[in-house]
Amino acid sequence: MLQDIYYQYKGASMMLFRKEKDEVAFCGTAFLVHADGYLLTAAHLITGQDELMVAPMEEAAGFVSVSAESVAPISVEIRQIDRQRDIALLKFVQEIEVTMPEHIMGIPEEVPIGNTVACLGFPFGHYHIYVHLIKQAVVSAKILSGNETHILLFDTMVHDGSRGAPLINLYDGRIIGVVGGRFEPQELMPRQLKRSETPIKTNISYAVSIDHASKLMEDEALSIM
Amino acid sequence: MEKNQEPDKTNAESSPEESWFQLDVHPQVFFISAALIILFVAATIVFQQYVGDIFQQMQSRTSEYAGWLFIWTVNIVLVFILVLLAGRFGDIRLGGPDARPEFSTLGWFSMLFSAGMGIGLLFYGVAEPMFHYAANPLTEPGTTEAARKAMDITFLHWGLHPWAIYAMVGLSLAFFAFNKGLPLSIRTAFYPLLGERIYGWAGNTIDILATVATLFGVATSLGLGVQQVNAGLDYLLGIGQSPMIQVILIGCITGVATWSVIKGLDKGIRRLSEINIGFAALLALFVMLVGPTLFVMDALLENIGYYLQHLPQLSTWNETYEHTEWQQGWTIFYWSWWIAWSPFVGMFIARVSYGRSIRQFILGVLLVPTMVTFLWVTIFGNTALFIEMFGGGGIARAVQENIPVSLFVLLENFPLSMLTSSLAIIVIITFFVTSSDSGSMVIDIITSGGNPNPPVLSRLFWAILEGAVAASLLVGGGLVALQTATITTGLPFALVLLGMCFALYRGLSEYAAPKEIRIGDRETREFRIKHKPPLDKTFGRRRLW
Repeated sequence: MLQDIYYQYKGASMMLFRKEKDEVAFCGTAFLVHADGYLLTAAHLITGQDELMVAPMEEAAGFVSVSAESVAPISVEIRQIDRQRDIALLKFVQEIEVTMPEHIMGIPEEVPIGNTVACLGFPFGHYHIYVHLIKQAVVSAKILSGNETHILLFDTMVHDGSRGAPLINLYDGRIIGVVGGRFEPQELMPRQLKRSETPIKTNISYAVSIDHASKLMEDEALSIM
Repeated sequence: MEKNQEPDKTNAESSPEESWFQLDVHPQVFFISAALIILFVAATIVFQQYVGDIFQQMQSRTSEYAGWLFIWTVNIVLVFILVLLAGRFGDIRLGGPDARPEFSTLGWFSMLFSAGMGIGLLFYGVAEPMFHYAANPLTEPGTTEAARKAMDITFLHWGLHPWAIYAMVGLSLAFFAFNKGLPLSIRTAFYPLLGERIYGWAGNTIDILATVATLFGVATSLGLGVQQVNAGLDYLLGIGQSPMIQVILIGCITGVATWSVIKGLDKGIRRLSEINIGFAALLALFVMLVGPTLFVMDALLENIGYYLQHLPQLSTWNETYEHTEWQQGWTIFYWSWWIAWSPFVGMFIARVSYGRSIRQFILGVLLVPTMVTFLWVTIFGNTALFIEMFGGGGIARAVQENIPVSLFVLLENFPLSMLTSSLAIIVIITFFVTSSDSGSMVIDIITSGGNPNPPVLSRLFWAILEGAVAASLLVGGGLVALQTATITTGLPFALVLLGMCFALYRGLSEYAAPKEIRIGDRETREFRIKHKPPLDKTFGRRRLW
């Protein structure tokens, strides 16, 4: 099953770059969600003034090199952004044909706790290691954040570059969340308690439920696929 | 390719008034079928003897020479369906991942059971075990072993195999129609074979044949059935048997069926089917309670156990070494009968199964009906056997004389026989209505070019034509001839079934395969990647928390 997930989404999950003069800097992961050329990512990766670009993994079989000096990215623009929910909807600037099956948006409401999920991103891009990597986890809990955002906790440690990657339900191959990062218990701690300087170590990560992305897509008058 | 053809409830079902005068039909299929049917009926009535002989010959020749092929086919289909039940395609939902069932589980089950077995079960539930008890090539008649074998053979004929055939056809049609966006029609089953040609004359011919065969199948059953109902009524009330009474009965049954078809699937057919199953359950419960309850309870378990243990043996038995011809008249007849009915029943099952997953579908169409059938056959068959073996006897003789009457002879052995017999008559009639209305519905869908909610005017036309054909054949003669003709379509369709297994498997594999997401050509230029980990910029507290 994980092979199928990888096969299906390897072209959808892309590296997200910010353009800085004539160079680009790696920010995280973004992924295709709509055949009209729309992508989703985590809102906290982008500032709003940046010029953004995405680059798909180059198609190659077998063992591949993970280093790169340059890249051939595609310009994208921010169409919708919800900082409260940490989700951004991007779109290719140029017209690009996208081949995509129907029904790739999952229903997080119906995903049981303990369900196996996969996430597919570029965890080590900040360190100039461009490896497209699939990880498996289970949905450990479904919780509400401080501002009532639907959050899926899953039990694998995601690295910084995987933020913005899709969280995919292994059983139906549909996307149920946008990976936000590692779960930091102190973020949810009662306000009056004193926080420690260093983060608490957990191997739990979180993703924002795809429901919130559906709202952005509706605002953009897209049919949910 | 994957369009979801959701049966649109708002279309004709909720507002018959608006669509009353729309005659949205497939012109070739509709008019040629209607013309052929009328022509055939006329020809059959005129050349009765001749037509009867031809089809009788054809039927017995195919049973004789192609018996082994039927046995192969039904077993392959059963194994195939069981593999699908257990296999990785079980989670595929008919109509796409977001489809939800249109009918409640009880309503769904009532409809498919009423369409699939219905009336035959009522008569043969009593009669068939009696026949096999009195004579079969496997054991000495009249012994304990004969009773056991009699139930086993009856279970074979009415059990997993027929329902597997229906499930196979239903699943193929539903999958290709709801998940692949093809029209909900028999021609769709040939798509893997003919490709786009199903939209041309090849497809039209298939649909015309299916329409004609379905109509004759349902109409001849109706015609022959009312004779049985009449025999029953006569036995009970002494009203005599005459074509006049039978035509009136056809009129009544057709009237109710027409009403039900016009009301639509949910308001008409589903409700009638539920009422029908309710009455049937009441009758079965009554017979079980007043009859030899303990014997029936014991028998149910033992019959099922014996059936499962001997299933591979009996279902592949081909009477090779016995060198008898018993099987042609029974097993092979049943197999070609079920196969000949399968386009009609399969189509109906497909129509009502939108939104079920393949696993639910197979559980609901294969296992549950089989269990209910076993329960029914045990209640009626074993009660008859009990009377024959340990009681007053007389059922076997009654069966030999007149099959429909044997049910009433059975009921007479128990208290309140007038009440139960009346209930039996009601069940028989409602079963006729439900197979008649589902038959019309199927024809409506086919002749409207695969529209799951066909126009009301055409529903009216086919429902009435069906009654008219039954009545004409009843008065003019030729019911048996045309019924035999319908059964002869079993042989070619057996080959189609095998092709369908292959096509469905391929279709499912393709459908379930992961679909790569890719982007096409784009204009880009190379950028250098900046040598500075920009982590600082993206970190920090998010508003989310």
